[in-house]
Amino acid sequence: MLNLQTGFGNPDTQDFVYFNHLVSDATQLTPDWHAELNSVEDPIVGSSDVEIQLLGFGSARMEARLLFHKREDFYRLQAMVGRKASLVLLNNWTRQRGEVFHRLGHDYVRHDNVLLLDLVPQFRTGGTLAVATFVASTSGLGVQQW
Amino acid sequence: MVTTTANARMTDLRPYPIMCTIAGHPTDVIRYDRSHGVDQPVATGSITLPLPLPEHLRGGEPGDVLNLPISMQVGYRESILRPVFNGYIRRDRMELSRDGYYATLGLVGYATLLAWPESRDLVFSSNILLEEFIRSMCVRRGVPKYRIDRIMTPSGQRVRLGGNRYIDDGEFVLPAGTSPLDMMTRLLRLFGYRAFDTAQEFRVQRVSGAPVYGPMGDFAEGKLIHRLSRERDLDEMVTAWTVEGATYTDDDGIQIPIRSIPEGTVPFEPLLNPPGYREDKIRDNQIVTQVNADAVRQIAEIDHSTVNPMWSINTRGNSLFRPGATVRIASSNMEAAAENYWLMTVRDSLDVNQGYKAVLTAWKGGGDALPDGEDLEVINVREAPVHLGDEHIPWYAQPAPSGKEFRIPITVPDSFTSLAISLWLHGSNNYLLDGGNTEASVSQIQVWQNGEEVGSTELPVVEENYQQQLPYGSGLTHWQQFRLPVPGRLEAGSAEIRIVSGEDSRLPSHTKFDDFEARNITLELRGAGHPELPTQGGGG
Repeated sequence: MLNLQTGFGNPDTQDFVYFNHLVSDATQLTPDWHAELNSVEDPIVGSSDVEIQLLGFGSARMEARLLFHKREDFYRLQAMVGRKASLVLLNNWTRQRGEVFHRLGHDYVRHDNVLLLDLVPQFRTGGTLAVATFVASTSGLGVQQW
Repeated sequence: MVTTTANARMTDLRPYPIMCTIAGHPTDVIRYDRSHGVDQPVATGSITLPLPLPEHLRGGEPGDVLNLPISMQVGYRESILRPVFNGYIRRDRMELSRDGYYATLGLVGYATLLAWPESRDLVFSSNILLEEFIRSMCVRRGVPKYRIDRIMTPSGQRVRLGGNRYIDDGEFVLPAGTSPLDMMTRLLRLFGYRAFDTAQEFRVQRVSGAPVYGPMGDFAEGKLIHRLSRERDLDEMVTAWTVEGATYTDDDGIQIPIRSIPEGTVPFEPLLNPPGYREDKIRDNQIVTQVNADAVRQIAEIDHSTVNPMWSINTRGNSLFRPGATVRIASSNMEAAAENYWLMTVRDSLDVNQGYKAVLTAWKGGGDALPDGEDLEVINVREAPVHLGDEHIPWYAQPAPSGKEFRIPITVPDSFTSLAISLWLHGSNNYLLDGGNTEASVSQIQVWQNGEEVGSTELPVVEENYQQQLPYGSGLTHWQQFRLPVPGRLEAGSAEIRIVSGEDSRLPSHTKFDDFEARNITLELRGAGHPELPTQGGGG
C-alpha cells in the first residue's frame, strides 16, 4: 500500500482518517464527482416543440471505494458519517477543482465542506474496504454554472 | 395539427432564484406559489424555507415571523425579474421529517386589511362616489398600495351610493358586522368592476364588456401552451334581467320598490329555445336609486347575453401575468379565432422539481368595451440618467457615480392618496442574485415630504450583464421599464424623490454600494383630494 496522504477530516490536525482511493475492480476506473443539472420539460401543444427549464445543479456526489491502512481507521471514518469535513484526494484522480498542494512526491487536491453521507463496509482478505458516498455543493467544487 | 419533429424547436429557460425580502431583509426561499384573481379579493401564496429560520426571522415569538411584510420577484435569466407578490405573512407551519426540516409561510395580499368587519355602522355622506367609499376604507385600514379606477355606468355616469332621502336619510351606511371588502366586492360586481390584489397593489378596475387593454400574452396552438381547455356553459346565459333594489315609503306613505326591467321586447334567442329566453333576478338593498338599478341591469345583460367561454391555460410562468389584464387566445382545433379575453386568475409556482409554471383562466366578456377612467396626474421627475453607487463605470450613461443617495425635488399640485413611480432601470439590486444575503440592504426609491419619509418601495432586481459592458448611454435598448406603487400619501406643496443605493457590507469599502442607473422617472398620482372618512353610527 502506498503511503499516501489521502483521507477525510481536518488534514491540519490529528482528526483525519487516511485511506487509499481505489479503482473499480470491474472497470479499472475511479468514479469522479458528478452533479446533475435539474430540468423539467414541457411539450408545447399543437407542435413538436418543447420547453425545457433548467433549474440549476443539485449537489455533487461521488461514490468511492476506500482501502484502509488498519481497521481502526475504518471505525474512525464510520464515526464521521454525517459530518462535513475536508476530503483529500490525489489530484490526478479527480477532474474537479480544489485547493491543490504537493507533498512527498504527490499532488493532492483538497475539497472543503464535503459531507460523508454513507459508508458501506465490504469484505476482502488482506485489507478493510468500504464504499463511501461523499456529497458537496457544486459551487464548492467549482462546477461550471449556466 | 402537429408539425413534424424535423421542425421541432427546443426553448430553454433558466429561472432565477426566487428574490424574496421579508421586512426588507433578503431571504433565501426554496419554493413559492401564489394565487391572484379578479374574483379572489385577497391574494394568497406560500413560500418554503429550510429550518432553522434565517437570523432575521428567529426568536420563536409569533411576531418574529407573522404579519411581517413580504415582497417577491421571479423571472428568467432570458428576461428579467418582476414582482409577483406583495403582502404579509399570515400563518406559519414548521415540520421536521425524514424529508427534511422546513417552514412553510402562508401569505396574504393587502386586501386582507379590508376583510374584517367593523363593530359599528360607518356612515358616509349622500351620493358618495363608489370609488370614494373604497378609497376611504383603504385609508382607514392602512392599505399601503392601491389603485382605484373611476366606477362608471355603461352610459358613462359616475356611480354614487346613497342619494335616496327616504332611505337612511340619503346616506350610505356600511352596517356593523359587515366586512368592508365583502361590501365593496358585492357593489363593484353589480357594476361590472372587481376589487382584488395584484402582485404589487390592491386594485379596483372594470372586468366587464370587451377587454379594454392591449394583450400582454398571446396564446395559440404551438405557442406557449402546455395545456389548453375551453368550457362553454349555457346555464350562464340569461337574456331577461330584473333588478330589484330597496323598497321605500315616500312622503305620501306609498311603498315604492326600486326596480329595473328589460326595455322593450326581449329578443328571441335560439340557444335558449324553448322558450327562447331565460329570466333571472338580481336583488340588493344597496341599490337605492333608479339610475343605479338600470346600470346594474345593463351590466348583467352585457355579461350574460351570450355564451361566454372560459379558458384554462397551463403555460410557463411569467411575472407579467396580472389578473384584469388582457390575453389573446386562438385554437384552430377548437375553431376559436384569435380574440382578446380578460385574464381572470393567475396561479403559479416555482420550485426545483416543477420549474416556473402558471395556470391561467380567461373570460371573454360581452359586448363592446365600456367606459372607464382614472384621475391620474403625472409629474415628470427626471428624464436624464442618474448613476447611483460608488464605482466609475465607463460604459454607463453617467460613468461617474452620484453616491449612495440622489434627491430630486418636486412640486405636488394637490393631495393624493395613491402613488406610483414609473422609471427605467438597469443593474439595480443585482448583487442579490447570489442568493439571500442578509448583510445586504436593498436599493429603493423613497418619497419624502416635510422632512419625513412618506413611503418607499424596493427597486426590482435587474441583472447588470457587467462583462458585456453594454452601451447604456445610447438609447433605452438595454434598460427595463417598471411601474412601482409606493405606499403613503402626498399633500400639495414641495416634496422629494430619493433614490437610495443598497449596500453589501461583505464587499470592500470602495465598492460596497449597489451601482445602477435610473432615468425617465415619473410620479403617478391618483386619488386626488382628501378622502371622505365616515362617521360612526350605532350598531354592534
